[in-house]
Amino acid sequence: MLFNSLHFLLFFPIVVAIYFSIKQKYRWILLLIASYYFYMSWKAEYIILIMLSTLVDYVAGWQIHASKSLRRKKAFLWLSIVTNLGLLFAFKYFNFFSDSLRALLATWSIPLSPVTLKVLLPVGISFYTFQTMSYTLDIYFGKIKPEKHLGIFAVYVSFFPQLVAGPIERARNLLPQFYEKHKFEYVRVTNGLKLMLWGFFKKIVIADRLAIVVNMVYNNPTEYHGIALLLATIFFAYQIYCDFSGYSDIAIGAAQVMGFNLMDNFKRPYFSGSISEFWKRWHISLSSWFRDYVYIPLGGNRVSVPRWYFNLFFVFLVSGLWHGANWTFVLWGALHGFYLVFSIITATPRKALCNFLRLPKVPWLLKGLQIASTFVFVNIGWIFFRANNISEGWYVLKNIFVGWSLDFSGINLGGIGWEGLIFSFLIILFMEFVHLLQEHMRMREFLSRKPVVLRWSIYLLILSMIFIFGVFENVEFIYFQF
Amino acid sequence: MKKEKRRFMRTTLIFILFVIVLLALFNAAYSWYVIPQKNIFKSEVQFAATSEQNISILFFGDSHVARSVNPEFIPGSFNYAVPSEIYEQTFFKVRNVLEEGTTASIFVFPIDLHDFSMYRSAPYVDAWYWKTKMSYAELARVSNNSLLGVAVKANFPFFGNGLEAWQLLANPERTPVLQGWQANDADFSQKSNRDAIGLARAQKHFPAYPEIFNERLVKGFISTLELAKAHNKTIVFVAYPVSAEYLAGAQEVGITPEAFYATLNTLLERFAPDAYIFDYLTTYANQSVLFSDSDHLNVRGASTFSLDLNEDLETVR
Repeated sequence: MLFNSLHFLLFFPIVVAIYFSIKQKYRWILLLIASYYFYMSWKAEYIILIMLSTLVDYVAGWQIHASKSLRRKKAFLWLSIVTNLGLLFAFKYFNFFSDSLRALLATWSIPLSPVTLKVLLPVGISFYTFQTMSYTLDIYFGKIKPEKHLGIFAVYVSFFPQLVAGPIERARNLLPQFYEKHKFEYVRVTNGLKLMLWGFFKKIVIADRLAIVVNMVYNNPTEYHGIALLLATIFFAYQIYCDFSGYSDIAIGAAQVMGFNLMDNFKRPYFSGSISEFWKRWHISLSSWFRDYVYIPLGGNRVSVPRWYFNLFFVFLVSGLWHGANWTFVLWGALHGFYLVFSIITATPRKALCNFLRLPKVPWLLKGLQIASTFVFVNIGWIFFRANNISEGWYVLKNIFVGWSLDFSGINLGGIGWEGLIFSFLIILFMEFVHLLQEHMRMREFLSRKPVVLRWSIYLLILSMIFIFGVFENVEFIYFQF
Repeated sequence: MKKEKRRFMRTTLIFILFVIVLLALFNAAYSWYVIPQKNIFKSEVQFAATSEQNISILFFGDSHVARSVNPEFIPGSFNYAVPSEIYEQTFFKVRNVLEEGTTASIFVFPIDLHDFSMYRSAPYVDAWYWKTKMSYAELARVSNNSLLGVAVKANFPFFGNGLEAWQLLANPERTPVLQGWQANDADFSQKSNRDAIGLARAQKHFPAYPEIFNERLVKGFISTLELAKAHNKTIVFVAYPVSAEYLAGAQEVGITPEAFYATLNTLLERFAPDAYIFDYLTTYANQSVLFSDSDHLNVRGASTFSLDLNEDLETVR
């Protein structure tokens, strides 16, 4: 079930209405049924994978906790990791590695008939497997105790607002909330709904509208050069941000309506002044997952300098692979790993250059340059993230500054015309204006102090924008494929 | 908690009232000001006005037909084609026309290279129009949507169409419609990148090559012909003109007219003895001045073609 579907618009109010009508002790049952229904409305049989993950991690969690010997603890931790990563590998990566191996052997003239699995990628598998793995890892590291109630643990694994695209919640944050009695609180419920509204706006009005140009250019990049490629790349930067952060806003808002607090997943990432800051603002739940369960166990920065660089690079390489079974994602991850290592190596000369140019005396200019250069580097990464393959990504990168002219006829092929281009820029500017305000204030609190006429006018304006300029073709969220 | 719930219910109800008023206002504005600017609407209004007269020839099809046939040169005809129309939709249109008791005795259908290729991702965007040609249940089935979904789309046409409204209101007369004919005066010969445009169009038209005979569209095509035949209508097939650049693009994609028409002939076997076939596919291919783009005739091209077609149709009349 997509958030941006009529199905969800009927489903969600019904679940919320029942949720606040029944006793606390029965709510987990409702949430479990609703979550399984939510997932099964996409492909019913794949619920077995979630159930398997749930059962294995529930048992593994208890066994890790109860075992006295470290060997036994490790054995059950490996059971959890192998099960979850095994599912992920079988459904997401098997064909990729099989094809890559075949291609590699073919270069040495060794023929290998490809073995491929004809399976559909289960929606959200990367998210729920990582969420449930964090549970067993936290028990192993002694951070949490195992959950007694299998039903509540099942809800933790499958909680519908964040099941298919996060935020990837930690057990110590989400699990206790299923025991809390959530009263119907007007302010909290309306705040959740406002966040959902903003999420729908970002997804339906901005992301899906920009996708028209992005898909047109990136599905046939060799037909374009210069400004068309640049425009499509910048639009993709905003498309993916609005698509994914829109989903997160709807998920966080929906959970908030029912009384749950999910972690923030985005904090205006395109205002980042460096790549490391970008990763503190982009997909925070995944970045922190990799930090806690990969980077720190590898030794983090408390190792030799070369090993530290390797740790950073490796984490981003794996993060790239997490996003998709394609070399483009691996390259994207590697690129970000390189950016980070490079930024550490060049920190001193860059600072010296800034001082030489007296930039610290003009802080707004320094900040602006930092934001602009970070945005450029992030966009170079997005080119490979969006391209269908590495050679097409390379073509885009090579031709983005070739044959510049203000002839937009190529873009007009998509049927969006000048009006569409103007509108696309206007909505991006509007969103970034709101982001600029958010950098300095909490919008919802700020709005709540304003007269009701102004507040409602703003809500109705956003709703009207969704009605009038939204794309209602039930376009899937990009991160569903991960 | 009850007090909070009551407050929420009260606020929500008032808010929903505002939303309903807004929806009604937007819908009315769109229906009154935007829809009348749409060519599909203009064509329908013109058809309603002319069908009382004696129309003997009706042209069905998509933009190739809509831009090529100027009824002014073909007495007693009406160009009932709609850009982006697929054969599944043509079936419902033909059924609707027959149910309303059309006076036309000759139905002209296109047999262009792309007519059986499913390249349109959302063929039922104008649900407000298609609901007049079929039931909600049929619309839901063919558009792969829920009944509620199509009911909302058909009755609230402004949903998601703000940009289109902006474009239409900003350029109300960009493609005038006369007896269903959409007059476009662009000149393809002025384009410097004609080969690239031709190739891009061909790539767009045949995304699923080698599957260029989509089962669903073939079914719609055959059903349409059977329906017309059952009502004793004379069937005419026309292969509409395209430019040499488009044909080259199609060839590059893997489509050759010879192979396409060889397959099509097997489909037409049942209808061929009584049907007429006029092939203009390559007739003006090297006269790019007659085209507005790689595969649509412009005003000048439509005049030339319609005069030639009228002569051919004399044999049918």
